Amino acid sequence: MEALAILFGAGFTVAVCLALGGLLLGDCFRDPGARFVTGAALLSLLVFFLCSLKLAYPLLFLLLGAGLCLWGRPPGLPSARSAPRPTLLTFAFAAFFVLYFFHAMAPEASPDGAGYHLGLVVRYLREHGFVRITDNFYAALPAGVEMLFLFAFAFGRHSSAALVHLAFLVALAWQVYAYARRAGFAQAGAAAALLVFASPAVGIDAASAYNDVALAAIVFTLFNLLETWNETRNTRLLIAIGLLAGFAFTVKYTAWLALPWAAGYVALKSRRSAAVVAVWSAVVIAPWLLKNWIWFHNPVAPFFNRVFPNPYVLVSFEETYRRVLSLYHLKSRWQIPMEVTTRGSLSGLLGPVFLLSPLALLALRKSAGRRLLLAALVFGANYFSNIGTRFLIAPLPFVALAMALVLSAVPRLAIAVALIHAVISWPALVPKYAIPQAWRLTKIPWREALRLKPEGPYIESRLPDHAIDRLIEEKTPPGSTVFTFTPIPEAYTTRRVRVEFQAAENKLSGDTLWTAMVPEYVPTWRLRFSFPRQSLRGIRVLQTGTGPDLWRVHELRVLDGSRELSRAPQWRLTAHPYPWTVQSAFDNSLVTFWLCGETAHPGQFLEVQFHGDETADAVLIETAPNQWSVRLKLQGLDPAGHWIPLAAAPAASDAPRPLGLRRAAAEELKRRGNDYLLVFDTNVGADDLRANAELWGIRLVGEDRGARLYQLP
Amino acid sequence: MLFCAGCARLPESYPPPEQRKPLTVPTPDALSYYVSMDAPNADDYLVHDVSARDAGTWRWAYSHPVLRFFVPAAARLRFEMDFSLPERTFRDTGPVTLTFRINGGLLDSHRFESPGQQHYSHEVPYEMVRANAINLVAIDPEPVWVSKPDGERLGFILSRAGFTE
Repeated sequence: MEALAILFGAGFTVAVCLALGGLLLGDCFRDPGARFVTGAALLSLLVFFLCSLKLAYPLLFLLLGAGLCLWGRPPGLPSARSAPRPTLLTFAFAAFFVLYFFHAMAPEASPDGAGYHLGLVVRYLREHGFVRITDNFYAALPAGVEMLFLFAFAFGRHSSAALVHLAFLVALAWQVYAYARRAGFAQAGAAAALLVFASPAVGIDAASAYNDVALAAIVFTLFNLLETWNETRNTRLLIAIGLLAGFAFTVKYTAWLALPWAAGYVALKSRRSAAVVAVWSAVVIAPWLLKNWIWFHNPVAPFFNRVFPNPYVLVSFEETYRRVLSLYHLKSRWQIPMEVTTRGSLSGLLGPVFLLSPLALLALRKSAGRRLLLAALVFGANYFSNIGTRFLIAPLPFVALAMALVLSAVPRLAIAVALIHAVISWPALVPKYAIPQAWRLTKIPWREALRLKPEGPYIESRLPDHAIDRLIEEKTPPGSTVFTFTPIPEAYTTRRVRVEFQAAENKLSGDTLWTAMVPEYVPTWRLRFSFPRQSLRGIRVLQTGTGPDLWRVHELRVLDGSRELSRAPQWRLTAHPYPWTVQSAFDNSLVTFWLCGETAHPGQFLEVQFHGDETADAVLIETAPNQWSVRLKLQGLDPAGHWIPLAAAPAASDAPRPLGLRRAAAEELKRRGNDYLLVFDTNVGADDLRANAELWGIRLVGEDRGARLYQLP
Repeated sequence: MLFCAGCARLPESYPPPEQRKPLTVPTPDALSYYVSMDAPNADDYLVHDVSARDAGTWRWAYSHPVLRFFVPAAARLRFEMDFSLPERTFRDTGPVTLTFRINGGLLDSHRFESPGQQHYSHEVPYEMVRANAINLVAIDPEPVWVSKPDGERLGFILSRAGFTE
């Protein structure tokens, strides 16, 4: 029964996409692959609006989808005459399709699929639409394909979503072949389609609830439609082109070049037509930008936070994130070719045959080759922002086609290379050359796919933390929020999970915990600025150092002799950058703090303006010593309204650790909306929490495989 | 849209928030639960057999040093001490055993096998400490180093000591 629900969810979603694509393209483009992908853009937009209106209900999806299927034209499946004759390649396609199909239908066990791709889908479906999620930056990423997952998930849950993604691979491979056949190089097209289809990274990605293969299908469909529009100049195609260029952006920001590329291509022939493309792209893109603008104060969240300052994503996080993704664990970018094709340490491998991809440059001799390579360049241009193998899937079909075009100059060479690629990409052979940890398929899990075997052991064999989801479900009441430093497969829990690195407020919660257990985070540092007693209207602490540390202030006190000036309600506090938590430096609590949000660089400041003149002779900063590159000086606002230097540097000293710090940190975590704390043995401070649970005021409610779940006080 | 979003204004300023109940921290002008030898009121903590104040961040502890602390009520406490055993004296004394007593009761006796910087930390039984009262801590070194010219008896160099969680 469950297997039928899965197949229905995926099949129904694909049928609705085909119907919508058929309605839009009519007879001007009957390719079913293109119809599916174009219809997917429309369905994604439709689900977006339903989510915006809080109307994401399975029954509504069913009625709407059924209506669209009835209204839409029957899908234009290729006729028997137009389909390729069965060959060795056909058998290769069939073998890999069976492998992928059963993997996609098996319980979803991919890290990101069971993490945020479906984690957010589960939440939206539960809430019947979008909810403001500012504690998870993944919620800010546009989710064009996840809207389709949501539609499918409503009927068949996780595996339906993965099967929908697989449908994009079928649409992609078909279009690679169909385009090449139309362009007069069918054999190269068939070889290229197999090169893409059998690639290990493409296979496992397509069979998971990811979005990389969907993006590849979208941009190839866009290319296909542009080529066709160039021949037919049909206006309907322009609308589809605009929708697909926008859809590509809503699947992954890195595909933003689809819009200028498509509009530029069309503008070369007709500027008015380019405007049509731009308008329809905007129809798809604008809602996502608007959503982020309203909820994150940043239309392109979680990136460009320096341009669009907001309280939700720290600039320091963005910089670290970009730096990590641009090199992963590699020492040099020269390692990339071997890693992405053969070893697979960058989350999968394309297959060793793609080491031949420089041969594709010889396709520049042909007009079609030049257009293919331009598209590869456009969709590979942002690759170095994230060098994961998955990010090469979008340009891969263009490279494969250009490569096959060159190889096909020698009779049957392209086909031979594609078949060799298929053989050595079969799961049994990949371990012969790839590293054991490479992300890849291993077997055909048909019993799990048909639900003849229970889900749990299968998922846990691939995602050990799945057991933690069960622990959370058993030990916490519905509606609870769990804070953790380590991501878990969120798609299998109904509780709200906050991961430390996924939002600014989570980072503050994590650092609050560390304040009580990591020595350099304990607020024992005292920085005292002394200056001649005088009348002032305000003070400003200016940061002049440069370094990797984040400036933070737990408390700032203004003194007149031994007396602290009382913090009058009329005082005005501000900080630059990240002003949103400045009050935490003035709340009389050593466990809370203002965090600068950017690594130390000159010009950062913390400022207090008094209501009128106050007499003072010292400023005391209570903070933690974890900011060695920070250099501070003090300025004062004199009664004439001029900022004057007061002290060039503070005198530093150490104070003992406050008593009750652990309890205060736990209470602060609770005050920030967290109910439970999930700690793995490998997390910093795990021992302290276990040994001093009484001092923290926390209660162990459950543990499983090195993870402990504590209830906060 | 991108242009408009870029023009969004940052919050200008905030008033001070509601003041919270502060945590327990030592104050510079009153006896507390922890002392550094460079604290202005460090002398207030010294009861017996610790060298007189100087400009440094440490003091010599002699044969029977005694310190006093005001210990607030707390769920669980540890006694901690940062100190050092100088190479010069260690050459003559060899390993040194420190015996810790709180309010006359034996807390612990620990042998330090090497010279240099040391950190001592030991959980304090709840009943050994008088909450919200003055508590005496005696630390007896054995053996002590005896100066041949003047007979001065040196135990260890004290940097900071006190109660913590």
